[in-house]
Amino acid sequence: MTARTAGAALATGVAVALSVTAGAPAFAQSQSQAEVEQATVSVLHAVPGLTVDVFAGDKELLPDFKPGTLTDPLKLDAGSYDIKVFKDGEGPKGTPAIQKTVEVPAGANATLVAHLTADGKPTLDAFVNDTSKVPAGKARLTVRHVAAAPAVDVRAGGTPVFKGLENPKEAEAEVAAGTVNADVVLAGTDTVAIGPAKLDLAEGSNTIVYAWGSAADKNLALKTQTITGMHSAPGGVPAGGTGQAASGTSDAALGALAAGAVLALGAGGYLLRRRDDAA
Amino acid sequence: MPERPTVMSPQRTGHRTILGVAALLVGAVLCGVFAFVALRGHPTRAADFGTVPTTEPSSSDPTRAAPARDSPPSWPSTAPADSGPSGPADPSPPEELSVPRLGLRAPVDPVGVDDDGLTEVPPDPDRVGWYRFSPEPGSPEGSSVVVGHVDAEGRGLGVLNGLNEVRRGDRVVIARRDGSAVAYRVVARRTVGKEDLAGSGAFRRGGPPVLTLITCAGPYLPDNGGYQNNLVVTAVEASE
Repeated sequence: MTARTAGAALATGVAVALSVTAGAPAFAQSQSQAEVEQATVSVLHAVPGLTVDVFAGDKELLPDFKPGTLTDPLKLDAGSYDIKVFKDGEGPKGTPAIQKTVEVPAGANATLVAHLTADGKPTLDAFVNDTSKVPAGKARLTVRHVAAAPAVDVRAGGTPVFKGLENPKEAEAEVAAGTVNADVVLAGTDTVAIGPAKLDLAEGSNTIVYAWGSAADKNLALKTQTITGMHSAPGGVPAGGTGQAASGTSDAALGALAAGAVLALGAGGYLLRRRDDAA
Repeated sequence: MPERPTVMSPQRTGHRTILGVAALLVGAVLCGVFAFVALRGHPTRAADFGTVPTTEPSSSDPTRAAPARDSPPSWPSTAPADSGPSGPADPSPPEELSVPRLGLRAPVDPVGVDDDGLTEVPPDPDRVGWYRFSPEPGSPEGSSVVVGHVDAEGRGLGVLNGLNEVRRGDRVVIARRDGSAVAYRVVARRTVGKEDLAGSGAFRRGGPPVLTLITCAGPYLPDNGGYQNNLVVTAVEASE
């Protein structure tokens, strides 16, 4: 189980810096590759009560983007995007509710999350989604705290799986695939903040659970994102036991065959010889 | 006048001739079978055959879920709540495996992965296991995997030992819990080294739908983990 800060995620995924980059993607042309490489980006709106329009520069990407909505993953050219989030209808000339420039690195799979800070201010963070292979029979579970709430524990079947998770951090683990009953409690307590909720942790997938909303406004909730296709083949099929099958036909069967042949030949010879005598 | 015991009626003599010839024939046949079986040697069985359909799309790339679109970006504004894939088209799990020509028939149990990362195999060699993380038989794509012991301690040969006798075109039927059945025909049999099985495509989740039956194959080296190979029989859905 690893807990990683959003800072670490940002370091590998998205450099955040307020800037003036225009909407046109600044193509990342590395020294060796002229072609434009792409990244996979999903966007989650996790700011309660605020329908927004999302712009990249002056171009509107997501009109009427409602809280609790997660977009399909989208292939984006790698590069720098100036993301502005406006209250519905106020863009693009008004003052954005959130503004950040995100670097979308080639090959990354990331989720851009508009959410509240622990003390309730709208913000934008990018999380890199772990798409490395998952061992056979396992599922990856990622939990991200993007709610205006204090540190929490995440429990599965009543047992804490992740402890002391703070906004805007994430934690992940590989667990047995299957359905778990999960809830979120205030860290170190049995005070349930969210849930319980049934989570279907599919084998070979990464199930990403966002705890979002606001404790003060009593609208804490879970949102789930699933990324599939990281399954692995099992290490083998141990389908043998004694070696009996490897002996071709067993010695006993061979012996029986031989004995049967001798017996039948003997009987035939005897019967025919007696007939000759009789003739 | 004392009867000569060696004198027999023509009828009885005829019976003896027939019996004698029959016995000789049986003996000859048994000799032939013995020679065939013995000379064929072990563990070399009937040869592998066929080719396996393995054109898996680039599913190893987890980002493929994202439809490729041209830039500039335009996100869909209201996507479905969860971006996971839809469930299998036909989710009824398998219940019984049969290969009618071989008289092979076995109940199917769902099996998973053991603590060592290996496929679980039903301990009873008269039962087989459907690897429950592989597609259900009848799914639109991928390899549905059924495993079974070739032999087991104290229980003799397993039902899948019969796979040694399988031939190209043999019918294989999976009966499903919902009462329906999926019919396959055998297209290939391969002997795959234990270490190579995972990478052999037997567990692919995408590509053409096939049924893959897996058991163990010789040689058997007791001091080196037992069986050295897996026997992998591939069948494609029969168009009926």
